[in-house]
Amino acid sequence: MDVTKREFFGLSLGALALSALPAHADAMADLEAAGRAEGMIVSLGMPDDWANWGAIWKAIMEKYGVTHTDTDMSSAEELAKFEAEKANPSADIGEVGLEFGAIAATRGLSQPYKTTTWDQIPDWAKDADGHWALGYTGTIAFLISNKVANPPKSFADLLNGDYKVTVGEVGKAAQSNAAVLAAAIALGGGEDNLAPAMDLFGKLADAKRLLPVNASVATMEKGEVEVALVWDFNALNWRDQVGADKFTVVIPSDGSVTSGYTTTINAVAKHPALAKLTREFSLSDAGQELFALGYARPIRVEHITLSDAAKAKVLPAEQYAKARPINAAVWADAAKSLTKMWQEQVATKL
Amino acid sequence: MSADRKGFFWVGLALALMLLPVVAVGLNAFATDWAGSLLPLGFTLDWARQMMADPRFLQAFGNSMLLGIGATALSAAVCVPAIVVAHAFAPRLDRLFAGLVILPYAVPGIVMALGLLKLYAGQFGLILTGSPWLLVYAYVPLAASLYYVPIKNALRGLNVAELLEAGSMLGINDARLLWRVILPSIRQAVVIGVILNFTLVVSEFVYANLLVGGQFPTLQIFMYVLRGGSGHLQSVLILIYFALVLIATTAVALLAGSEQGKRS
Amino acid sequence: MPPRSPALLLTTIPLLLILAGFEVAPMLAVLVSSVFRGGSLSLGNYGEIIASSYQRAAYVSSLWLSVLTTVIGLVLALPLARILRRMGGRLQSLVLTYSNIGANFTGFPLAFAFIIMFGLSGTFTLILQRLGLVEDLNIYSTGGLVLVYSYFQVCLGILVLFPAMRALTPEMDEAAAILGVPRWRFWWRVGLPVLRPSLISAAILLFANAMGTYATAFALAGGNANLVTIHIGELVSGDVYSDPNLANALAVILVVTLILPIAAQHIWSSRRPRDER
Repeated sequence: MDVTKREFFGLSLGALALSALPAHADAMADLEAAGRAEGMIVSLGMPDDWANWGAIWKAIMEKYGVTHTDTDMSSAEELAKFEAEKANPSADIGEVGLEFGAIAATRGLSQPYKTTTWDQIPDWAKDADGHWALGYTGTIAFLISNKVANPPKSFADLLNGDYKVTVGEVGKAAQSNAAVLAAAIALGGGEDNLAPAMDLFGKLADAKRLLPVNASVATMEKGEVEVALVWDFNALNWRDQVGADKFTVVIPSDGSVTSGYTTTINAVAKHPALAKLTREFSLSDAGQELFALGYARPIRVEHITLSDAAKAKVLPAEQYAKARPINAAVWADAAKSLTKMWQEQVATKL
Repeated sequence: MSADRKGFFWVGLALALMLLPVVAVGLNAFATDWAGSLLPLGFTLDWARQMMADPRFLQAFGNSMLLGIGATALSAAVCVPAIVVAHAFAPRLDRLFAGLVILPYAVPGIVMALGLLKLYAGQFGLILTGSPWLLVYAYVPLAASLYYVPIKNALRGLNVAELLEAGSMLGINDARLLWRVILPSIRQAVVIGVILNFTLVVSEFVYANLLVGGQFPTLQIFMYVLRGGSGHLQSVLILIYFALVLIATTAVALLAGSEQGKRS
Repeated sequence: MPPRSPALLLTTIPLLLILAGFEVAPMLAVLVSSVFRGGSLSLGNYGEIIASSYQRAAYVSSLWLSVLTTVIGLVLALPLARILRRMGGRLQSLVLTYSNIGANFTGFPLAFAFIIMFGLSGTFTLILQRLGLVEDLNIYSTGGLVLVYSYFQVCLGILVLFPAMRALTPEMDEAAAILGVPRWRFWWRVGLPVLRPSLISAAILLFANAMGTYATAFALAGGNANLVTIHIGELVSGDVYSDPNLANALAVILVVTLILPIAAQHIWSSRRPRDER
């Protein structure tokens, strides 16, 4: 932990120098003092074993001498809790899927905060007003059991095989919906044209090769997972948990989609300074390194130098050549019709 | 005799089938590697040791016990007299109960939980969220049916009206009769209610996570936190949860049932 | 019968208060929320549900699954509860104990237990495949849901029917045996009529239990099963989009679906008041 701490001090000073505004340094000192005084922070959907939040919380707790509690829940539940508890907010910060960052802002549930590293976040991955910004990205990957005879490299390959494809809970899980979108992109479609994906999954369903449950470490251990379409950070993390010799992870070579998760700071947070400092730290060089150590590809990956340990945890950059960022605005609308299309064109064939 | 033996056969078969999923989880809790084979390739105590060494586990276990006992005590104290009295003296109220106790089942937990969150998160001046007390109250409507159905079924087997009639002719007041005659004869139903109630409370997740959450982690919340990790560890936790229910059930049955056992 | 001891009726007040505050009030909140759409008062949520063939299909499959597993649950639980009642002793309490575990065994743990047994590489799947009885077993399907639902429905059925079996006294059996009445006839003429009120209330409980089941269905059939509760889950606790108002409208429809059989039971029992006593 010492190393992390030293890195934190060194690197965040560097980040401050980059922004080159003395006013920032003063503001930061005030914010840190306020954070220390707040003493505790309560988060939603940011559990220890997700994207290495555990290590990040530990660093924050040590640095500011504060305590932390998390309750894990889905993005929609987090916003419902923010909304219901306006009069007496229990949570300060939550982590939600990309689409929900904007929803929270529109509903007046979040407050803006731009980190000192804000300029280095790509435009597609942040809100112009500072309400949300992805801390790390997820790209749909293939998680392949090494027992599979002819492992697929691309979505087009999926049709030529006899293994089962675990796509997860299409309609409910953001990951599964993104998998459908990734297939569409790879096969010539996009957010507003899911037909190629429906065609592919329809054929797999016809061949009884499609499993509609979420992959997990538990089902991987039990031998239920042959090829799963999941976020790269989940795939890499689970592969290492079950045994790196048992599973392989690749980003499909004919295309995939990149999205991610953003912190959202409760508009009426009782501990706003610590909530802002949490976002600040997660987007600092040290925080980004910790995400990478947790298999999550940092959003500022092109602006920082990862340690060798962290580099080994994420996939090489060249695999991401054909992956493109999600168009969140179009997708938010399309996702609503996805469930119905899936039920009619794919689920009926299962 | 042969009818009895047939009975034993069917009950034994049912018991075996009921136990199967439990056995499956139990095997997985001690398995080293169990992918694609009939049975685990080897057995280990590592998963169990790892679980026992986790401080979060002990905390969650303690919280679940506390909540289970507290919520069950309140529910039983509130439900049992109300159901018996309504059955005996207020048929219209009884019918109201019959409807009310079933309704929570139809509404998925998450919808009720969001309703409760809206009402008791301070928007109407009352703040109960974040404290396990909210759960103690909120579990009563869920538990009510677990008392109502078996108690009503047992009461139907008695002739309460006739008993009350006889009692009043003998000059025994109603309260005394309910307490001394009716309650003992529906004891088994009450015990079933208590057992189901406790089990419900230690099994519930949605209310606990959304209304209280990380401030008071229960076994189910801990299980949810572990869901991303090893299935073996989860199996250990599921097995411990079964053991808890089993021990609690046996304890309640023993405490309440020794006399009953002789009679039935 | 008029209340003879008004003081005793006071004991029902705490339950009434808690039901009002923690059941009726949140349900009213759900009802109120269901008639709002985009911030203004509207029946649009209901209109959308009724107009959508997809939502109608979900309702029908929820109904179908619930009725089927209620029937399975009762048909298996009834004779078992009966045998148990006559049997007594240790085996009786053992079965009741495990029924309790089974009735509360839900969500991911239950789904995972069945995956261990009947999944792609489940123990029984492999046994059946080696015996050449099946080629492929798909637990992640409607058939899988029926199997898993039946598991907890039978357990719950045994628990709630067991106390009712007291109504069938040993004397009735003896009388039937002495008169040489065939078993089915005994059940048809005596057993079922005597048990009818208990059976009806157990059926309603099991039906409600199945209609409201969410976590288990979700963990097993995920995006595959088209059920009302799964839609509600998508709308309020998804990671994709949220529309709590529409979810609440679906919940109101579920509640109404349950009020119908409960109301029918009331009318039935008030018409024949002697059954209740």
